[in-house]
Amino acid sequence: MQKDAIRYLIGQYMNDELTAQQQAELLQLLGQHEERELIEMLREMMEAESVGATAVDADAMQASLQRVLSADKPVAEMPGRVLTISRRWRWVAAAACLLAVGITGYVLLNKKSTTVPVAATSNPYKNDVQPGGQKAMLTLADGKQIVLDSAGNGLLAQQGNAQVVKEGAGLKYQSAGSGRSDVTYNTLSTPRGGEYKLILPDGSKVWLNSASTLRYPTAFTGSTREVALEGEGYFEVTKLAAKPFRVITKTQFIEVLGTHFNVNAYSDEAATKTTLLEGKVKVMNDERSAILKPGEQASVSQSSQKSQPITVQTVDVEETVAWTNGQFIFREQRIESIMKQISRWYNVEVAFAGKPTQEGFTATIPRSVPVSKVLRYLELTTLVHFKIDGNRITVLP
Amino acid sequence: MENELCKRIADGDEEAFASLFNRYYPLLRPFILKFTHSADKTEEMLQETFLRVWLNRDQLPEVENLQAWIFTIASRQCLHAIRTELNHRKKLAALQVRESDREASTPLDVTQLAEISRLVSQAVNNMPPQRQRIYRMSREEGLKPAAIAEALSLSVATVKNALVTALKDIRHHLGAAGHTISLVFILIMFF
Repeated sequence: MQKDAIRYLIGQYMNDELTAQQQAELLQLLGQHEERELIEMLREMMEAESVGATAVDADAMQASLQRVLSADKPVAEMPGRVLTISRRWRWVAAAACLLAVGITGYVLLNKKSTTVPVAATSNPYKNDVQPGGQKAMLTLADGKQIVLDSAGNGLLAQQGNAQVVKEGAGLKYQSAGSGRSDVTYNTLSTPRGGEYKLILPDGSKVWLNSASTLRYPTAFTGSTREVALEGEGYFEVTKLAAKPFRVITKTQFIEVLGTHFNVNAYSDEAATKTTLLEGKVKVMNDERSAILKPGEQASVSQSSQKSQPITVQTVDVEETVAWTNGQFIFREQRIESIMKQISRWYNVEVAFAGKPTQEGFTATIPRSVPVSKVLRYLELTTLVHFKIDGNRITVLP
Repeated sequence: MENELCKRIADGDEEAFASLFNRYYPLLRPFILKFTHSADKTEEMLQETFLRVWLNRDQLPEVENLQAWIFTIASRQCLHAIRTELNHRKKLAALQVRESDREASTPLDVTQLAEISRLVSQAVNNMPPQRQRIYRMSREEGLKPAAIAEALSLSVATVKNALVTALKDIRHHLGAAGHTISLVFILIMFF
C-alpha cells in the first residue's frame, strides 16, 4: 500500500531518520498523492498524538495568542487599552495552565467514572515539591567534575581526540583532530530530580533518567562500543554493523547493532528491564541470552545469584519510554511502583502508612508539574491519600 | 456548547477565542513539535494555524466537528512544511547549498506577522466608511455586534454582515499579497 509507505516515511521523517533515498521517495509520493488524502492522513496521526497532551508553557502560549489576536487589528492602537487587556489575560493564562494539566489528568478518572471534580484553588498539602529538571554531573578522565544544567552552551573540555560540547540541556562528543591518543573514560551522572541527554562520539543518543550513571569512552576506537549503565537510560544507537554497541549493567549485558531501546537497571527495582522499540537487541548474562523483537521486554532478576533466567514479555512501550517525552504514563500500575518513580523525579522520600491498595492506577501526567498535582490526581480515585511533610510523602489508604 | 463558543468567536469575542486556543494549542503541540524538531518552528506553525482559524472565524458557526476542522488546518501546515523541508534537502544535496543560503522555510515568522498586520491595516483603510467603522468598533474597541448595532442605530444582522464582509475583504487583500488565508479548500472536505 502506498498509503502505508507514506505513513511509514513520515514517521521516519519525524524521528529524523530518513535516508537520502527515502527522502527522494517521500517527496515523490507526496507529489503523486491527492492533497486531501495526505492531509487526512496527517490529521489522523495528529489525533493519535494529541491523546497524551502535555502541559505547555503558559506564558509562551499567551504570547502566541496575543500575536494572533493582534494580527487583524488595524495598526493604530489606543495606548490606554493595552494595559487593561494584558491584566485580564493573566487570568486567562492561569486558567489555561490548569486546563492543560486538566486534560491529561482526566485520563485517570476513566476508571472510576464519577463527575470530574474541579481542582480546588487552595492546596491541601502542607508544602509542595517542584519537579526535577535538566541536571547532571560530568566527571572527566582526570577526575575533574563539571556541574551541568540547562543554561549556557559551548565547549566544556577536550578529552583525547574528542571535544565535549554542551548544547542546551544536553552534552555532545565530537571528534576533533585525528591524532592518536589514548582512550579516556568520562562519566555522566544525574541526581535524583535530574535528567540529561548525551550524544556519544558515534552519534548515538542517550537519555539518562534521574539517579542514573553512564560511563563511556570519549572515542570508540575498539572493535565494540561499550558503555556501562546504572539506573535508567533510553538509547538510540547509530548503526555501525562492524562495531556492536554494548550496554553493561550489573546483571546483564545488551548487544545491539543500531536500534532504539530503554534499559531500566535501578538497584531498588526487583529486575533489570530492557525494552525494545525498534530493531533487534540481544540480552545476555553469564549463561543465558534472549533476542528481543520490537515491543518486547526482557526482565532479569536483580538477585545476587549469577545467571538468572531472562523472561521476555510484550509490554506497552509508550509507558516505558514516557519519561523521555516528559511524562509519567501509568497503565494499571501499583501505587508502590508509581511512588518509586515519583520519589526519583521529585527527590522525595516515600513512606507507606497502612497497607496500600492493590488496585492498578492508569494515568498520563506531565513530569513538569509540582508533586501536589500528581498526588491530587491519584487522590481523585479515592483509593489513596497523601501527606507531604518537607521532603517526605506519606501514602495513606 | 461548542457551537455557542463558535458563535461568540464569529462575533469577534476574544475571550471565546482564547478558550478555543487554550483548549487546542496543547493538543496540537506534541505532534507539531515532533514534526518540526524545533520549538521555534512549532510556535510559528501553531501561531499560523490559529491565525487561520481566527481570520476565518465567520465560518466557525457552520463547522460541525471543531477539532477535526482545526486539526485539518494544522495538517495542511505540516504538509506544506514537510514539502518545503524535503525540497530544501534535495537542493542542498544537489547544489551544495550552504546552510546560510537557506530561505526562511517557516511560513510565518515575526516579520511576516508584522507584514500581515500592515496588510490588514491597508485592507481596513480601503473599506467603505460604514464597514470600516463597524470593523474598528469590533476589533479596536472589542464591542459585540449588538452593542455596535445599538450605537450606530443599525440592525444586528447588518452589523454581522458588515463584519463578515470585512473579514472577506481582509482575506482577499492578504491573498492578493501572497498570503493565502482562505480555507475554501478545507471547507469542501467537511460539508
